[in-house]
Amino acid sequence: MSDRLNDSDKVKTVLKAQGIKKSFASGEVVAEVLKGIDFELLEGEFVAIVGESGSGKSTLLYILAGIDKPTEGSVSLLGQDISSASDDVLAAMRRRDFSFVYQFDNLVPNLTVYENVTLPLMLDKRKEADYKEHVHEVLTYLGLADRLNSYPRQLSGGEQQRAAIARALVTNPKIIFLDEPTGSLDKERGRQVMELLADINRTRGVALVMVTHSEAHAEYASRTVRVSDGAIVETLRE
Amino acid sequence: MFKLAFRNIASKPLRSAVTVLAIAVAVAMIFAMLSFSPAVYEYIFSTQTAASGGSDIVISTSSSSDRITDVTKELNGLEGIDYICPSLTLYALLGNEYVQLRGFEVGKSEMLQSIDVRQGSLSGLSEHEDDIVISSATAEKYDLHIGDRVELTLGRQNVSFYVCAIADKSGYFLNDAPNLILGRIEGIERLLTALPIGDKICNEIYIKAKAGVDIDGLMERISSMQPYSSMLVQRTGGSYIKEQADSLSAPVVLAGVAVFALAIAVVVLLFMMSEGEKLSFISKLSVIGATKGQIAGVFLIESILLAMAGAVIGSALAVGVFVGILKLTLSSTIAFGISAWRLFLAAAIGFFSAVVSSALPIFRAFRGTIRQNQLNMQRRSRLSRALCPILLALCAVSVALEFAVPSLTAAVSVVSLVLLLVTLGVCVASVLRLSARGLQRSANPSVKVAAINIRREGRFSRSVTALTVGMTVSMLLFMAWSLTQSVFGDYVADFSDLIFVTNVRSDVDLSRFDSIEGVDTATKIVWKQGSLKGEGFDKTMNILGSRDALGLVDFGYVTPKQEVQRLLNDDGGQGYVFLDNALSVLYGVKTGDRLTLTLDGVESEVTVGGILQHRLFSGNYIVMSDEVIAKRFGTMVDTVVIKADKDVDGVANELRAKFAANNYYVVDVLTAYKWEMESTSAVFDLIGTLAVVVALFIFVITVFASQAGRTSAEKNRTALLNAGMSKRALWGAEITEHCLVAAVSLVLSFALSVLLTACLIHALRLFGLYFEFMYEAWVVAVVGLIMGGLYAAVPLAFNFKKSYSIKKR
Repeated sequence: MSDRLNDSDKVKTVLKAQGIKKSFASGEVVAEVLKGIDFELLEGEFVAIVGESGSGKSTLLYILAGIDKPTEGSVSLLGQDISSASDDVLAAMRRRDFSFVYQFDNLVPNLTVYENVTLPLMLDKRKEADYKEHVHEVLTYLGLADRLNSYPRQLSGGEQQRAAIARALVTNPKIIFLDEPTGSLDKERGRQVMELLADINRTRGVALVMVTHSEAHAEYASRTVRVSDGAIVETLRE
Repeated sequence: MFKLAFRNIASKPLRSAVTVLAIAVAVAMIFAMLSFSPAVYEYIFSTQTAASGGSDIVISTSSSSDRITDVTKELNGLEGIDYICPSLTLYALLGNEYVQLRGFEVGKSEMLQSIDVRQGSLSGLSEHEDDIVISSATAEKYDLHIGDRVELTLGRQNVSFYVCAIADKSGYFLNDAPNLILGRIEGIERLLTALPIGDKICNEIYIKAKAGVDIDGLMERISSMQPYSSMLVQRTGGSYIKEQADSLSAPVVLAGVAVFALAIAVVVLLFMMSEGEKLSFISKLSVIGATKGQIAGVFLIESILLAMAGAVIGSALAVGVFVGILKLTLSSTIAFGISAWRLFLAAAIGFFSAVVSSALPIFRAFRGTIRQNQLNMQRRSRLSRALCPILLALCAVSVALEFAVPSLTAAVSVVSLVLLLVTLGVCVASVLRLSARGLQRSANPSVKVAAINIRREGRFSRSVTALTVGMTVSMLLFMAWSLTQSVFGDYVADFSDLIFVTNVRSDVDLSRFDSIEGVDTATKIVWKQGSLKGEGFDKTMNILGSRDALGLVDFGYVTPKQEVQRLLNDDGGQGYVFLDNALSVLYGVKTGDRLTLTLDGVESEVTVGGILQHRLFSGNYIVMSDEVIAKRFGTMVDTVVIKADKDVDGVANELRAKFAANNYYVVDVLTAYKWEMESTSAVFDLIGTLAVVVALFIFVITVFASQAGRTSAEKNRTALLNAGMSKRALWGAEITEHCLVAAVSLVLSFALSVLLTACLIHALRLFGLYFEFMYEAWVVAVVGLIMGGLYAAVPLAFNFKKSYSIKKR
């Protein structure tokens, strides 16, 4: 990873956000959550976004992943301006190019682990025979090979989060966005998930953008961006 | 897609089952509503045409004391006739009461109507001229059995008959007032004296025209033939029957529209339930790359599966519900037809409402971002925020027009009705949130939490909308039921002391009646039906032809009573008629207008002398002088109306005994109009049954919706308990939520019911019906309080407190 970063001219930018502003209106009061943020993500990079609660880090992540829309500014994801992209184009990108993992509640409750993990592939109309082996490999890698037919409610919090990561990974995305992926886990399980994410980044070359409030977990990233009061106040490289 | 849809259905079996059931009930109700009006029409028509059956023309004598002899020879040679069925109808005494005797030629007794024999056999009618068929009601009333001898009296003639069969209440016996006895002409004419030797006697000839024959032309040809030129040749299913059936079925049509709208609203509500859960599911699918088409596909497949199941079960249920309610309220013997196209239409409406409703959360989700869907925080569009004020303004304009411009009242009332119901559906949630805003300042934690929940959780909007719409419709139905019953009660009270004595001569000496004990007044009258034609209307009217008519019926007066009485006594050659205010409102009839009245085949110009009012007659009456009728139409008085000041039955028996030799037909008014009373009462019972069914249906759905909504608020309750809220206080909050929803529904329903009643009464004018504004606040209050009270009591009845615990994530 560090070799690649040292030669950044040759590394492709996969995400570029410019002048991102976001404000919420509540009656007469308008709260400006993001105040003109510029952000870039390189291919295979692992960025942690940290900050106090209410600093705007999650809002930034949602805007970068096209889950929320900025009030002002633009986001270019894998060369596609997502503010002008059609819903179908964005949906196709989510199925193939990038994934998102929430802090919890990622899985569809009435589908099994296997069905949840294969859902984006099914939505992409791929044949099961083409992906079955790959899915098993991913689930084995994440330690869920024996939980294929379990429902989310039958899994522990850590297993649920690993299933969500498996689903994010199974489409071979270029980027995975993660919103506090360890927020609902205990210290040990949180550490295991972070090891796994670092391994995914290292061995599979998937770029990760992760929001976390844990300084310890941010250390797994190659770059840490600190957000405070709606602006990036500090960038630390590994 | 199918897998996801199936899993969604299977993961919530109770909700899916209730949704299917609700769609099924809605389909059944829609079908019932589409079918009730024609069924009521059919019932009234069948009862009215019980005597004439499938015939087209009836030839009768101008006076009931005349007989027709040797009549069918000329008709036999006439082209275009399928069959001819002579009949002799007499009224004879069985004990102290009149029965109607109807005789047919041998083998022709089932020509007009079928006879459903319950006991015995019809073969007796062919074999013995003194055999008779009676109805099961007659058998029960007089304790008669097969083979029993029945002694009948007409004037001074006593004749014995023998019961050969007992029939069900259908066909001829559907209109069994007074009790009907069927026999042979030869047997029944034994009650008459001075018979022409060798001739068969009859007083009605029923004719069925061949298919495609012009009935009016045939009637003209019959009228021009010598033996029939002095007789009445009329259509059997006359316009009066149609008008009666139309007016009686009109309230059912309106009730049907209300229930129809309610059924659709319930289906929409069901699919809007747990919208937050659906939005969250949509956000989950979106975030992994599902396209809008795929998301819509999942929901549409799910709703199509549920709607199809609901439509199929509903179709089966519809047949049961429809026939059940009709048999219960109208008649157990009429075979009401199940129309395949109505069943299909009901199933299709239920199906499409369900499918379209299921698309509402999807449209809403597609407006917001994935994040907004995940958090269920879509901002309301400008249009939806402006919708409530726009609708309120439209309602105000429409209602103002309806009341201010009489010529537009009826048409605009329909627009007002629709606007009021839509406004109710759209704005009631805003009123609830506004009320909650006021309560939010409370220091009581239960009230404060309740107020916050109500303002922020969509489930309360749906509950209050369902309860308010349902409560309003129930209030209106119960009020319609109560009002019709009370008007009907007034009618019975008004006429319970009147007795008709018919078949009298016009020069009858009234002092002979006055001398009988219990007779208060005796009034000569012509009580017939005629046709009144004016600009924009041609109606069959009941004519009360007597200068003393104002003393018989308790009228209201637009034209002063003294003036009406003066013109009745002194006509001055104008041919004055006095009409109901309904005709003024509906057709602009006013004093001095010239109209055309047809009575007993004679047409004459008459002048409107004044305007009266009566609640029950729906404007279908004319008061005029008996002298004017005699001069202009040649119709003589043949009835005396007796007002009794004591026991009506006793007075009637006294009259029968005293005038036995005169062949008078004496019957109290309530018996004479028994079938009308039964029909009217049956329609009112139908409205009442609908009211009960609708109230129960809406209550069950609202409670279910509220319970289903609670499931999604479990996290909220856990958080509140976690934060230290006591179970008692949380229970208090849920009770407050239910109370506030019930209170808002009650207040809005109460207020709206006044406006809606006015609009409904105005809308009835489109059916040619006019009523003064009638409103029974106590009925509305009782219905509202019961429904609201029951809803408010749900947290207590289901003991919500018992389910409180801090749940693990």
